[in-house]
Amino acid sequence: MNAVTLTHVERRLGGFALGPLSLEVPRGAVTAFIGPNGAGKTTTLDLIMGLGTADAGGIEVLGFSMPRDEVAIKSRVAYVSPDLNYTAWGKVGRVLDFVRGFYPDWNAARCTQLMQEFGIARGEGIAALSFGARIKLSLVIALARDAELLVLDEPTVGLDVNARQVLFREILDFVKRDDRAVLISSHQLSDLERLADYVALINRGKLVTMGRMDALVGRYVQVDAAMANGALPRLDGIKILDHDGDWCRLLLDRKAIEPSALAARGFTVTSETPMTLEEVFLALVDKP
Amino acid sequence: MSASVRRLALNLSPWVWAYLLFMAAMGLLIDVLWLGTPRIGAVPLMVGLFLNLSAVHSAQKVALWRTLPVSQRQIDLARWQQGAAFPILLFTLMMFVPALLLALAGKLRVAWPFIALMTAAQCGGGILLFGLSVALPAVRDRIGRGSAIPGFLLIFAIVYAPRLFRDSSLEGALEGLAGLGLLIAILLYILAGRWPLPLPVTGWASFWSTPPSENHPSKQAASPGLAGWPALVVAQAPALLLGWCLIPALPLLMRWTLGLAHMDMSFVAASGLLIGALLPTAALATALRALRALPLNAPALTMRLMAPLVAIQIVGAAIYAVTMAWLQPDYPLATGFALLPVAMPALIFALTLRFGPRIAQFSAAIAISLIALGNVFLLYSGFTITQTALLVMVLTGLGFLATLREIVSGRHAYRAQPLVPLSWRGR
Amino acid sequence: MTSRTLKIGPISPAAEGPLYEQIVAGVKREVAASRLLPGAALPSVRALAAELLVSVITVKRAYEELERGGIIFSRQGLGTFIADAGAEETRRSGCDAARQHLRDAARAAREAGLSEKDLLDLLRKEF
Repeated sequence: MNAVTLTHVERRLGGFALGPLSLEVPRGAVTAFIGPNGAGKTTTLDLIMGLGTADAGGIEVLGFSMPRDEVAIKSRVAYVSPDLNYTAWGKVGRVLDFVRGFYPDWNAARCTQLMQEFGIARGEGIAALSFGARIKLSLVIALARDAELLVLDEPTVGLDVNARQVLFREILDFVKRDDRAVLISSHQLSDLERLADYVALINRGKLVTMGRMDALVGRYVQVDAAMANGALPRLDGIKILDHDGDWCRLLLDRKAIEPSALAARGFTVTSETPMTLEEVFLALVDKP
Repeated sequence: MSASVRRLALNLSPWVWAYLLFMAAMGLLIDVLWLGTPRIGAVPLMVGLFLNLSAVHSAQKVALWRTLPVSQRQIDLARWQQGAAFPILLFTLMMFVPALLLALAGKLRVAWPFIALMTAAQCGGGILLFGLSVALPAVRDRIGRGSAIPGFLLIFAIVYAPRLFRDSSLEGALEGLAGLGLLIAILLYILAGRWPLPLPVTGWASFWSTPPSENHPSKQAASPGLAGWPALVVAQAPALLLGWCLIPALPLLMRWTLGLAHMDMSFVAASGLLIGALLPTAALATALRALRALPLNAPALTMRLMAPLVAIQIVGAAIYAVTMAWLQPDYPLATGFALLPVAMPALIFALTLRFGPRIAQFSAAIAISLIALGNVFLLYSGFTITQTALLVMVLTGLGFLATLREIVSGRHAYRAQPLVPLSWRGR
Repeated sequence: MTSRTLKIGPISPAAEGPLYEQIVAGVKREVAASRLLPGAALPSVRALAAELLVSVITVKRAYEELERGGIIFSRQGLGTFIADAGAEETRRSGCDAARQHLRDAARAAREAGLSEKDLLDLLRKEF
């Protein structure tokens, strides 16, 4: 059973329309949720957390239905976002004491340990915390429990390298149990490529592709070729990234066409480069 | 009441507790005064209004509450506890405990049924205001900015209710208020789970924040051809115009709707004078980090911030003087009310930079109490208009220096950010 | 189940090859050097992923590759172990790899116009 299943979810917000979006987040794995700014990532994660309701479609989280089982879902999901604002509580300790009361699975020892790892103290004033420290505080709150699903919306924004390492360690520790799942949105694609097992890419409110990380990264290959007759190859599975004279740079979807097939069409392949997630992202997301 | 609701409802910041304690002490004083000398009218109603404002201040916490394992209904019920149940308990205690003590001492001057009626009306007024603050976001989404104006009028109407219904009709008014409050409390309870999210910006600034429907990029077209400070002034112009219009509008509306032809409206009009300047003050203070990045040294920046605010208030004071002369020629111009607001933006600005956005939240309350107390002080000391003007100049100068000091070396000056994001997630 | 942690060096995108291949190479190195003996238990996929800070899928893929090569085997519910023939397989696959490289070298040498003797001299120098 998936940790999260979205079926034809739609949401209209002012001039922006999300969906219809169908998405699956498997258990026992880290799923990266990527897309350009304004693609609808945060809107989607908000819907999963019940911050707002979908106009259409079904949202199933950990076997429960949102918004019907809102409370059951929220007690099993931990959520991190740079938008969480704790200023109203004044002090770190006060926020922790408040939040703690809502979770029977709150682990005080683990909370203390996390606070040491992230270097925040109970007595610190929220207003005086740096941007990164506020995120660390919401990470402490999320990880100090025995949640089943971790929803991380841009958790690495403003984090130093050290804290990012701690976070990654925690994420991978979290999925040591294969009934748990992590859904993480971030623009740090190189980190995600290393950490995440699955990836979902959205753009302008629509799903572009979804699948295993290694499959997505391995599926596309970047090829530099010389054109025999000066004509660009207009074929399924080929996207022209750049061209100049008889030189062209192509993105090949190896599901549709292998680089070796180009030679048969009169192209001289001069180089063939595997791609990183970042390059796949750039190639698949149209520039506005 | 489930454990979750209780936890949410009792989640009050020390600031709010302090505010509650202070208002409770003031309220107790007023209640005791009224129980001993009932001829002061229905003044206790004010207690109901001001104590209830505290419920509005927990609104900023709803952002986090929504991520906790509680339902929308539980969140609304917690807000109901804060805004309806808690005030009813508090008002009853505040009225009946001193009444009992006074009765034992033989100094009680009000009949028991009337005490009960007044308490019920206190609760009614408070709940009415709470209901208004709950409904306001929904109203604002539909009619946009300025939807708070009916709210202001209602507040004034309740504050001035004792003067409206003298003697014979007072009881009827109190009964009406109590009944209405009870009805609203029941309605709110039934509708819990479907309340609109509270306004994301608390305090007075919320009355002027842009509704999400107007927040769309296409509607945020910059005014063409304006650059630099004039652009900022234009951006704040609606707030200024609102304030300036309120100076004559508030007393006029009260006259028309309530038929108070002979009441002294000096204070009512002065609150309009204040509102216009306080909104830009809060906006500028929270934007200080961006403003400080401009190529200006600290005195130049302070000057450019203070000068328009003071100028705005001088124009406001002129409008005030003209309005008063035209509206109530029989009353002498309350120079304190006219001139003291000129010094307020500078003082509030410095306080906001020093003590953070909480000051902006309470800025109207602070400023109104300051000018009310100041006016009394000026009257008793027999200040002439020249002396008053001098005092205002000194106060403005102090505000300027304090602001400058905060801009140069303040520890919190650049952290004065709105307490909550300007729009809710998931809307 | 005692499974000592694998000391296969840091897995880094700065090193050559995909991450899973680096893990494969690391395990082979340990086996060839007899620091991992037949029957030794390997950490679970998830534990190793957390240790190396790579995704579960990366480790899974490396283990699958190693299992295909006969270097490790897994028992349902018990874990993953170094195969008896692990060392031999490692050596054989190393042998195969060396032969492949030599074949490539021979081709390159022929294309560069080197004689057999020149190539052997070069090889001796490298060795």
